[in-house]
Parts: sequence; structure tokens; C-alpha cells
Amino acid sequence: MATITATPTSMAESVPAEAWGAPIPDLIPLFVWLSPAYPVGAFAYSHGLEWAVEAGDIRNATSLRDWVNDLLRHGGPFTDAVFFAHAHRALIADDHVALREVAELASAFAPSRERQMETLNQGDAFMTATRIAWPSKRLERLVEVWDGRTAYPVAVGAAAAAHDLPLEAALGAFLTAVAANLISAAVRLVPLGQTDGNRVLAALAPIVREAAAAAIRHPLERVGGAALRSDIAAMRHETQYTRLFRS
Amino acid sequence: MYATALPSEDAAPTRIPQALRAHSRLRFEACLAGARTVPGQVSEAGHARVRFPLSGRRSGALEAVLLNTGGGIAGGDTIANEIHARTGTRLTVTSQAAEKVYRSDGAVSALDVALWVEAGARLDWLPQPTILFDAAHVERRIAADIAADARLLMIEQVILGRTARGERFQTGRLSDSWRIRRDGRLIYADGFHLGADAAATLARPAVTGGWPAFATLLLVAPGAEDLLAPARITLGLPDGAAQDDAPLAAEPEAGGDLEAGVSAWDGMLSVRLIGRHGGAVEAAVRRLIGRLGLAETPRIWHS
Repeated sequence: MATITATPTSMAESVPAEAWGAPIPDLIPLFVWLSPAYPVGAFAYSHGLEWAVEAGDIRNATSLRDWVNDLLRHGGPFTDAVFFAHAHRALIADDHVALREVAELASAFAPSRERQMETLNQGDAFMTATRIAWPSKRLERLVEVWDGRTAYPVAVGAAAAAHDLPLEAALGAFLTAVAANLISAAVRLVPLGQTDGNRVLAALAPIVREAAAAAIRHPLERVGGAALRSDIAAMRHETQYTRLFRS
Repeated sequence: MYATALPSEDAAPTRIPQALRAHSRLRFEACLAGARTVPGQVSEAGHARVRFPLSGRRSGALEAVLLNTGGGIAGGDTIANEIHARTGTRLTVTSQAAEKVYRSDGAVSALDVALWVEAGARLDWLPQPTILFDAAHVERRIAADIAADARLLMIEQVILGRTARGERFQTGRLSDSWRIRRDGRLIYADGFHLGADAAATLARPAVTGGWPAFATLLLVAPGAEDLLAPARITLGLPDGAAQDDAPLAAEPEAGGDLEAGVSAWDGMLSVRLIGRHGGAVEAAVRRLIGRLGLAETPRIWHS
């Protein structure tokens, strides 16, 4: 994040006041919502990664980076990013039809039982916690237009918009949290050292930015990915003999 | 194995004038006549045709076979299929041959499928595989609206590249969207999106590891979830029931040219298949249909 060195006196006179206050949005809600301590239980889900470790697809830092890279660019996290962006824009525009459409689509968009449970359980938990602790009239719009269960990216995207968090920053933070959660699961499962995990997350930062930018441009009707082996991993996880994670 | 190559198929793509592009549209309904299902209104335009061979002879079901008299789909062509299974009918829809989508000069080939399954009706959507030539550019949309007590079986097989002649899918594009509504509520949505750098993307470990063939089977029916364990057993996957006795049951994979996963929820059964070649996927599809009694394998598949 940019460091601002204040240079008051003469310049301040010629620059409009909002130019000093406005450029740095208040990102504090994001840090709270995406912290592992926020009560959505993200740590309980591995998005099928637990099976990918079992099957030998993920066995070290390199193969972990490759797998998470694929998910960010072509898998569930990418389609979630598309839903996040559309929910954010719909709430900013106060477009009830678009908001309902993305909420409905995201709630049904799952290739397997555990993947649907993963997104809906986290989404509902996020909405419950956020409506109580971070109440916002604008976030209530989502509850008014959509009476079904809420997918996680729609919940966070709508909440970010309701609190005027800019889309690019909020989506980048969301995808980073998703990647960090997957890596944290792999660190326990492979197992890997914490340092390896941190290196993988740092190496994926450019992919996170790229995926966020691509998701923001992606039309909702063509939302999709190509990570079929990840879908199969999530399905195979359902019968995995020893499981630490719920997906 | 599937595509007999015509010399023209390898010619450099030339811009096809808009007027010469084929816009095909097929609409038909299946209606009840006593206990039998018979064709109702049929409307055909462009290269799309439907035939009803030996209609009603098997278990009262109507078999509809789709034909593309254009022989294949070029860039800029559109095909729209709209099929209604009226109340209480039983309809199986398949295609006469694998659908070939030729390389595009940049224009999109748009394939639209809309299925309606009314109360108590049963529709099996079982087209033969869709084969995308390298540089094909396909946008496919599949939408189904089914009644609460209706039954819909959908199997879509895709092969990227004419693999039988060693062609790889390098620069093509495929965007595939599924939207399934039951009783008006969206219950299943899926999207496959392969954009630029198709070959590099396919090769990725979480994508298909470079395998060119894949299929999705979706069954929406009361009791569909009861088929979860049988489907897993059919595919050689652990069924989840005998875990305590067979902790190592995760091992037996069918042959090394197929990867499969099965899940079930909310009155649906969903199967994903990935194959080293189209034959591996098709064999698995036939096993599932046969052993689970999902449908009568369309007669035309046997030829």
C-alpha cells in the first residue's frame, strides 16, 4: 500500500480538500471480513485440494503453486471472482434485477455437493455475521431481492460495495484470502513448511492480480472455468477415507 | 474414428459471406397418444432436421434423431434446437452422427439448446459427441426447464481436436453454459470456458492434464441421489459405503485413460468424465447408461 508523506503548508492551499482525503479508501472492513478469525469457517474447506494431495497431484511447493494457479485462472476461485465483481457492480448501481440474477446464478453454480455446501455455508455465515456487526442499509438490498441461500463471493462482493470499498482492491483481497486458505490447507496436508507456504502465496500475487482483472471484464452469461480435474477432485473427496476438511 | 476428413476441411479458412452462413432452427414436441408418445408439431429450418425412426416401439418412448444436412458447423453458423416433452411423455433425443464444428475464420458458431420437460414427462438428451476441429470457435448454451416431478437426463460429450488424426486443439475457443430450472427455480448451473491459449490451458494439472475428451452427465429426477453409489461402482470408484472395510479402495482407476467423479445433491446426479481419447469417455457413458438403467441406449449409437 502506498505510504503518504504529508506535506502541508503552501501546497495544501491550492489542492482541493477531497484530493487529500479521498484517494485512500478505508479498507479496514476488508481486513476484518477476510481475516481467518471472521466467523465464516473458511478454514474447514479445501475445495477438493485434500483429494489432490491424496492423489499425488499436490506433493510439494511447486505442484501446489501450479494447482492454485489453475484454480485462480480457470477454477472455482475464478468463477467466484466473476460473481464477486457482478454482485459488487449490481449493488453500486442499485440494480435489483442484476443483483438477484447473480445471487441466483452463484447459488446454483456448483459441480458437486461439497462445492455447493462450501460456498453457501460460508456465504450464509458471512451474511449473518456482517448484518449484525457491520449493518448497512445497502447490504439489506441483497436480502430483499434474493430470499435463497447466498454464495460466498456474492455476499462479500455485495458487502464490499455496500461499504464503498473499491472493486479492484476488494476483489484482489478476496482472491488473496481464498488462495491463502487453500495454501494453508496444503501446508497441513502435504505437509509443507510455513516458509514454503508463504513463498507460494507470494509467487501467486501476480496471478491474483491477473485473475481479478480478467474476472472484472468477464460477462456473467459466459461465466465458467475449465478446471475439470479440480471438479473431479471435489467429487472424489466425498469418499476420501481420512478427511480433515469438509470439501 | 469419428470424422471422415474432406479435403475442404483442411483448406485455409476463408471469410464466408454472412448470407452463406447456415442458420438452422429446429422445434418439435412430443405428445401423448394413449400410452404412446408420438411426434406433435415439428418445424425445421436451415440444415436442421429430425426423424423419428421406429417411433413408440420401445417402452412407449419416442426416439428422435437429429440430423444436420449441412454436414457440420462452420464459423458463423447458428443452430437452435427447441424441444418440448409434453405432459406424461417419454422422449429420447439423439443425433445421427457426431457433430463436427469446423475451424473458424473468427466468427462464432452458436449452438443453442432449449429443453422443456412437463409434468410427469421424461426426456433423455443423448446426442453423440461434439467434435471441435482446431481453431473452431463455439459458444453453446443449454437451458432446460423441467416440472417438479419430471425427469431429465443429459449427457454431453466433447472432443477437442480431431484426435484420431493427431490434431491438437491449439487455438480454438469454447464457451459452454448450462442452466437447469426445476419448477422455475435454478437448481444447476455450469460453465466451461476455454479462451485463448487452449492447448496450454488444457495441459494444466487442474484442467485436464492435456486430455482432449470430456463429458458431463446430469440426471434430474426424483430419487436421482439413490444412484450415487451405483454410479461410483460402475466407474470403479469407491462407493463411500464400505470405507471401514476397504481403506485402500481409492486405488482402482479404470485403465488409466479415464478420470471420473460423481456427486449427488438436491434431486440430481452429476458425473464428470475426462478421457485420454473420446472412446474412453464414450465407453464410460455406455456403462453408466446400461448398468444404471438410465435410458435405452439410442439404437443409432450401435451403428
